[in-house]
Amino acid sequence: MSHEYQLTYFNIRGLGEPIRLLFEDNGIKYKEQRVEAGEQWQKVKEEGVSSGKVPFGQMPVLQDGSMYLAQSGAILRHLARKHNLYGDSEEERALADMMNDFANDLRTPYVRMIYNDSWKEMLPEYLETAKKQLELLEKYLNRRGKPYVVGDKPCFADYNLLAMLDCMHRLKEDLLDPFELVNKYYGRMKQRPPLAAYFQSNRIPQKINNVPRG
Amino acid sequence: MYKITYFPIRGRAEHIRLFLEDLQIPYESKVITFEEWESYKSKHIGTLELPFGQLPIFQDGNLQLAQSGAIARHLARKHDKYGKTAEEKALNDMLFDMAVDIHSVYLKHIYDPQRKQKMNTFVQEARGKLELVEKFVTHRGNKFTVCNEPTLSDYYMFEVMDILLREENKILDSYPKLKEIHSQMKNRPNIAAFLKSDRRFDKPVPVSDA
Repeated sequence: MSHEYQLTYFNIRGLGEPIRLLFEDNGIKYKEQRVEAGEQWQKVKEEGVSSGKVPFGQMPVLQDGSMYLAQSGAILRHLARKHNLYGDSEEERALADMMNDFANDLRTPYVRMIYNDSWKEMLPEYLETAKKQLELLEKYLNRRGKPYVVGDKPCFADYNLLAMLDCMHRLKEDLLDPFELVNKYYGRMKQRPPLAAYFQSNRIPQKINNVPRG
Repeated sequence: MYKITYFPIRGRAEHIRLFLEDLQIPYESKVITFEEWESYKSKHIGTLELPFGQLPIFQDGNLQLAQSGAIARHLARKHDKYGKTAEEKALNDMLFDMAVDIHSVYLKHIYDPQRKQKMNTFVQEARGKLELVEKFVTHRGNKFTVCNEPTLSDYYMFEVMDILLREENKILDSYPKLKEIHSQMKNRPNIAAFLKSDRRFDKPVPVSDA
C-alpha cells in the first residue's frame, strides 16, 4: 500500500518543525505544501475551510489518506500512534503527553515575544522566563534519568522539545549552557544521524518564524 | 484512588472532574487555596509533586502527572474513552486542542479588568472558533463531537461552552449542534448530579464577577 503523508504549512519551522523532525528521524516519506504568509495563505485558508481540507482555518494540516488533521499536537500524536513513537508503557505515554505540552509551554512566551515589534525590549524578561523553564526541565531530566525525554528512545514529544530548544539556542547561543542535562539532551537529539543530515539539508526551512527574527 | 490537586475553582481541572464524575470513577480532591499557593509553590516547585510549578497535578499510584491535557488523555486511554479507530483518536486530539484554544480566548478576556467594555471583541473571537467547530461537528454528524457517545474532547468542549455561556448566555444561539451537545452533556445523570453537588466549585476563575 503506497501512501504518502502531506504536510501543509508555512515555509518556516514554527509549529510545523516538530512534525518534520519526526518524519525525518524515522525515515517516513512525506510531501509538503509550503504556503507563503499573506495572500497565498488567505486563499488556501478560504478554500480549505470550505472544502474541509484546512479544518479550523489553521496550519499545520496533515493529510493522511482521506483525513485532514489540524492542530500540531493532534498531528504529532496521530503519527506517534501509527509509528510507535508514543512510549512503551502507560507511564511513558502519560509522560510523553506531559512533556509535549511542556514544550508547548516553552513556545508560548517565545512566540509572544518574537512576534512583537518591541521584541528587543521584551527580550530580557523573556530570557528570565526561559531560564526558569530550563531549570525545571533540567530537574525533570535529572529525576527521569533517561537519555530521551521519557525513555530510552525518542517519542513524539522529543521532536517538539528539540524544535523549541533549537529556537532558544538560536536566539541566544549560550542560553542552554548552564543546564548540563538539557545541553547534553539537545546535542544528543541534534546529532542523531538522520537529524544531523536534515539540519544540513536544503529541506529545513531557513526561517523559524513568520517575522525576520529568531 | 486517583487524586487531583488543584485550586478551589473549575479552571483547568473541571474537564477532568467531569470525566471522572460522568464515569463514576472515585477520586480524591486536594485543594490548594490561593492564600496557600505561593508557599506551596516555593516548597514543591521542580520536584515530583509540582514539576513545572503548575496545577492541576494528578496522582495515579506512583505516577504524578502535570498538564491537564496529559491527565485527560491518560484517563481517556485507561477508561477507553478516546474513540476506537485511529481517525477517532486523532479527531479527539484535534477537538480537545481546539477546546484549549477556545479556553484561551475566554481566559484572555476574563482577566481583563475592562472586560465588560470589550464584550464585542471577545464574542467575535469566540464565535470565530465556535463556528468552525459547529461546521466540523455538523459535517461529522454524530451525537457528540467525534463519536456517538462522549469521548475525550467532549468533556473539555462542554466545560468551555459552559463558561462561555456564563459570560454571554446567547453565545451558542447560532450553533444548534453545539448547543445540543452542551445540553446532552449537562443532562447526563452523573454530570447533572455532580453539578448540583458540593464537590462542584461554582467559579471558573478567581475573578469576583466571573
